[in-house]
Amino acid sequence: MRKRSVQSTSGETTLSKAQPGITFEMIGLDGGERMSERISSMGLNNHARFQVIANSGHGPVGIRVGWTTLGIGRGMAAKIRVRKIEAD
Amino acid sequence: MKQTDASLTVAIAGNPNSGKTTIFNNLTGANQHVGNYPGVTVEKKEGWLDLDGRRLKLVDLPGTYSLSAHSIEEVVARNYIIEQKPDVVIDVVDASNIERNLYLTTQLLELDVPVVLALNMSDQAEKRGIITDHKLLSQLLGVASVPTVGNKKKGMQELLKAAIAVADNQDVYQPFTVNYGKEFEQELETLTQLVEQDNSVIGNCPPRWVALKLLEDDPEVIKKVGQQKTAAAIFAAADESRERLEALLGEAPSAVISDRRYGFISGACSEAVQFSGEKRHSVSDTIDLMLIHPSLGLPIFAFLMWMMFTLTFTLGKMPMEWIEWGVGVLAGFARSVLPEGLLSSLIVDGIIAGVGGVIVFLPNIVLLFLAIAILEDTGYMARAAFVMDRIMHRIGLHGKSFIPMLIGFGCTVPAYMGARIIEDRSDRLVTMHATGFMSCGARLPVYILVCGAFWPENAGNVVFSIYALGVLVAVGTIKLLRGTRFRGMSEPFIMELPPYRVPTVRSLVIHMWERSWMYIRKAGTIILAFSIIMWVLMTFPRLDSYSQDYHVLIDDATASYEVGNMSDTELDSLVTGYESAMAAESIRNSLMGRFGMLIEPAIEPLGFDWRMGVALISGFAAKEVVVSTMGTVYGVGEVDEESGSLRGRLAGDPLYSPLIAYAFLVFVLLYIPCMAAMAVFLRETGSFKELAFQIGYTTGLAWVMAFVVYQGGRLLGLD
Repeated sequence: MRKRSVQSTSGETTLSKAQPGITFEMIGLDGGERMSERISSMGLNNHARFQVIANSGHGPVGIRVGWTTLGIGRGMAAKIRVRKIEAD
Repeated sequence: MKQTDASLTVAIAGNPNSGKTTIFNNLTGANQHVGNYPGVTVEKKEGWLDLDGRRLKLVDLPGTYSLSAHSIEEVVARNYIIEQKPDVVIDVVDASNIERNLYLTTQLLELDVPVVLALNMSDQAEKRGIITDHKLLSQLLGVASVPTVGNKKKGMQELLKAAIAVADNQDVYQPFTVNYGKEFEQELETLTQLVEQDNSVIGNCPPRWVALKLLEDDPEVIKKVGQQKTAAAIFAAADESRERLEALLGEAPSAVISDRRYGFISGACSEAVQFSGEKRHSVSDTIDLMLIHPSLGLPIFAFLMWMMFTLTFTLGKMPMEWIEWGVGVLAGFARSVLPEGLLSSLIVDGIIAGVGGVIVFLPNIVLLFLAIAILEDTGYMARAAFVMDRIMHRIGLHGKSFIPMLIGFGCTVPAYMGARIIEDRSDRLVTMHATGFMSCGARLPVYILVCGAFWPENAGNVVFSIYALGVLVAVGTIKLLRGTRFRGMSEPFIMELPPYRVPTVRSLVIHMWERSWMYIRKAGTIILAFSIIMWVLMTFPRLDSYSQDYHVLIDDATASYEVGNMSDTELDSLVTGYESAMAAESIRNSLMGRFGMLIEPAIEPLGFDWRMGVALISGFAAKEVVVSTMGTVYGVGEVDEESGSLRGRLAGDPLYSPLIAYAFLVFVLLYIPCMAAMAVFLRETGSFKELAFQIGYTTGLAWVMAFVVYQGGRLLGLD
């Protein structure tokens, strides 16, 4: 996987506010152990980089992490802290 | 329990969508047995094969991403491994998504069980530019691995040989486990020693694994350890360890654990796996841009649903006619060879009419299940859940609940079973309570019959209104239950949207067959039994004398026909009329008729008479039975929903009106799902309380709604 230079200037946000078409990095989770284990077992763990493929501001958020596509409910997405990495 | 050397137990583990079941099917062929794990409702698939004089018992464990205690599937999979100690576990890894899949592998290795990796879909991986040096990966992880392509049956023999070698301790690998870092390992070591001192309850589990699970706050393991004498000391030590680690590492232990596991995996993959693909986009992504699009997603979904139902019913029409013809021929044959009397009546009116009336819907059921299997196997089902999540969320559930509700349009039985995908118990119960209102395929014949009688021009719209009412009632039920019995928010929604795949014919056929077979079995057992019971209840006690001597009347009519005073059709209609009047009288006198009369006051406010009551009661056996019972009660003999004579009887009956007919349809839609569904409901929920609620709620609501329709309609002058 080649990556362009990381621009960490842009601020943190939550996954629920992440715009589609952009690459983000997960930096933390405001949820319990249970949720943490659950999302990491499905491929989204701390420091993982992913693209947002669907987020209309309503309903679930679709992300692509590695070769995995996940649909994450809005409530859960609001608890996942992310940082913008690059524009596509 | 260790098997003897002559036979081996092989468990197959892996992520959902890793091709686990395809490999299981390849290896076992037709030698399969589907059951349940004891005490829970997770499906257990077992199979066997003979190889080099040895019998291999294969167990397809539920597909899981992890072996934590977060879902029934995960608990079942890990308990099987811990308690049954299989000789070897085949871990099916999707090689085209290797890092995520190896997360489960790290946990299998911690369970101290012999593992062999099946690097499945290796062709797909190569297409994605992911090349795995499986020998190197084996060395790095310390487990044997075999590249396979499940859907092309490649690598199957090699996989079996490797599995047997591992089971026989003949492989050369020593499994590595994840190192969680110096401080973490120290705490783990202390806790492990403490756990080792008393293994009275957790005897089968590796102590280090137990210690790790205690740090992860695993509810199942905590429960088990809690039964031991040393529990207090262990818990105190675990709490201290957790606090120390959180303070030291600034993260919860479970976050550290998953970070380290992925670290370990990416270390191994960076050496053994070459990622040459430039970008991680695929055809799936492009399709998803459309199918989960915020404004296109929902209309596309609605269109696909409409297609599914239209095709199910149009393509099913022809084979239905063949079956009807076959049943008719069989009934004619039986009548011709059997002497007229009770036996002939039992076989023709009871068994052939009852079972035949149900079997006739097999084409619809098969097609609907085929459509659902296609939606599942292509990967679209998960997208439907995604698209529906927004709407479902508003009524208090999440998108996954939509899947069982959708299956409910086919048959409530698999729909209840489909609710297993919902992890949270109250979410699952709310979904199941609402699922019964999704009008199942078995209710359709009743609609077709009644609509054909009262709204021959508008039948389609009326049937649609009943389906729509079912959906509305389901939504209302969810809202009601969320506000009362199951307060609170639903569990967070997270779901994998698996890559789109072209389904294999084999897998579609297996899916379709398993479910259709359930239906056929239902016809052959429950419905057969109930047809006989209904026949007995409607035949005895027998009536000795009728209000008129019909036999004499028939003889008179025949005589008058013979002297030329009557045409063929006149005679036919006269004789049929006498015969049905006779049958109606004898049913009125029968046990069932008397019972119907007994309950008539309860259903009178709905506009129903005793005959409708009898039909509704018999519908508890299976909703289709309502049609065949009506045929018997109205004395038109053998009927199906196309039956012109029954339709004519209903439409011509002065007691009935379209308003009563609609109230009847509403009742059929809403009242208690059939016996088979209730049995599955009890098995799935394990709760008599929920079952009682389901029965009372559905039937109570059916009464109220039918009452509102009938009495409301009368007030509006619609009667």
